[in-house]
Amino acid sequence: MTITPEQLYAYLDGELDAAGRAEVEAALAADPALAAELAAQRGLRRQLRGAYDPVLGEPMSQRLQAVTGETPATNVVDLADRRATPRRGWRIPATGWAVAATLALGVLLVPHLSPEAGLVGEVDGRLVAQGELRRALEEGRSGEHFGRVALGFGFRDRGGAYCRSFTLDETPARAGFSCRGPDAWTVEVLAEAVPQGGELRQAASLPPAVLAAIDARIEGEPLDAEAEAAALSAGWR
Amino acid sequence: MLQPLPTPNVRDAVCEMLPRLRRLARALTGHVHDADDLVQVAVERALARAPQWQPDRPVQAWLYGILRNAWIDEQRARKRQQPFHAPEEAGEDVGVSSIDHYVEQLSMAAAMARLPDEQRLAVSLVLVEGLSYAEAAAVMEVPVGTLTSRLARGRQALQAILAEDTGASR
Repeated sequence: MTITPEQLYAYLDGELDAAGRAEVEAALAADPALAAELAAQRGLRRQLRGAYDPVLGEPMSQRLQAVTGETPATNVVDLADRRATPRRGWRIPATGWAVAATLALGVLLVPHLSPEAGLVGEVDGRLVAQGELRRALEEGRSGEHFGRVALGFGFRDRGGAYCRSFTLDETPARAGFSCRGPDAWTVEVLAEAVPQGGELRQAASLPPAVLAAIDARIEGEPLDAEAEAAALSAGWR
Repeated sequence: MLQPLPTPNVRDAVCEMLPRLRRLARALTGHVHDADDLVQVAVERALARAPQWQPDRPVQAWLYGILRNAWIDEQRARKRQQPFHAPEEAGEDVGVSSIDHYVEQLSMAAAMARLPDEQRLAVSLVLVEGLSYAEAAAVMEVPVGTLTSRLARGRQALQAILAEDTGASR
C-alpha cells in the first residue's frame, strides 16, 4: 500500500472520504517518514498563514477604500445570518456550516466516546480535546480541516474565554464546541451531527442542540477573520 | 448619463472580501503596492461587470476568478516589458505591521516568487485562502486533478526552497 504525496496532502486538507482517510492513517501509523512529511507540510501551511494572515489586519489603503466607494464593511457575520444562509466553504469564519431546520435534535454527549477516536479524552472529570482536535483548535483557522476535524467559527464566552465550534467527520459525524481553559481545550458539548448529503467536503451541520448551547454561552458576535488571527497568534489567551 | 449602479450584493461582497482579495494578491505578487494595484483592477472590473454575476454562483468564487484573470493579464504585460524580470525583486516591499511579520513575509515572498505562476496560484488559493480543491479548481478553470498535481508540486518546491534558505543562513 503506497500513499502518493497527493493523497497525503488531500488528507491534510480534509479532502478525503472516510475510506481514504483510513488508508492514509494506517500508512501514517506504519511509516515514520510519511508522518514526518505530514508534519513538515503542516508546518508549511502554518508558515504561509503566518506570512499572509497579517494582511487581513492591515489598515485598508485609501485608494482601495475609494474604489469601493465606501468604508469596507467589517467581516462580522452574525449567527442568525449564518444559519439562514448556508454557503459551503466560501465564508470565513462561517465556512461549510449549514443547519437544516428538519434535523432532529442532536443528543448531548458525555458518556459515549468512540474509543478509536482519540480526539477527546477525560481529565479530572472533564472532557478535553486531544490529538488532531487539540492541534486544530490551537493552530487552525476557521474552515480548515485537520484530518477528520473541521473547524467552524470562534467566539468568546461570557467569562472571556475563547471557544471554537468544530465537526468530527466520522460515523456518525459529531459536532460540538470547545473552550480554552487554563491548560487545555475543554469540550463543552459534543453531539451527533447529520452529514450534508452531496457536500463536496462532507461538512456536517451543527445540530440545534449545539447551536442552542453556543447561544447560551456566546458573548457578542462570532470572531471575524481579523479577531481570529489575533487570538490565534496570542495562543487563544 | 448616469451609469447603472452595480447590484448592492456585488458591492457588499466586494467590501467584505477586500481584505481577503488583498491577502491573495499579496501572496501572488509578493509586493504591497503591486498587490493593491491588482486588487484595484479586480475590484473595478467586478463592479463594472456586476450585472454578469449570476446569483447562483458564490460571489466569492467569482471575485477570486476576476482577481486571478487580472493577475494573469498583468503577468503577461510584465513579461512583454521585462523579459528578464528577476524574481529576487519580489518581497522587497512587503507591507509591514510588525518587524516579525515583515521578516516572515519577506522570506516567504522570496520563496513564493520562485514557484511557477500556476503552482503559486494553487498554493495561494488552497493554503493561504483556504479554498477546497473543487473551489480552487473552479477559480483556476482547470480540472481538480490538474489543481491537485500543481498544488503538490508547489508544496514540494516551496518546502525545498525554504529548507535550502534555512540551510544557507546557518
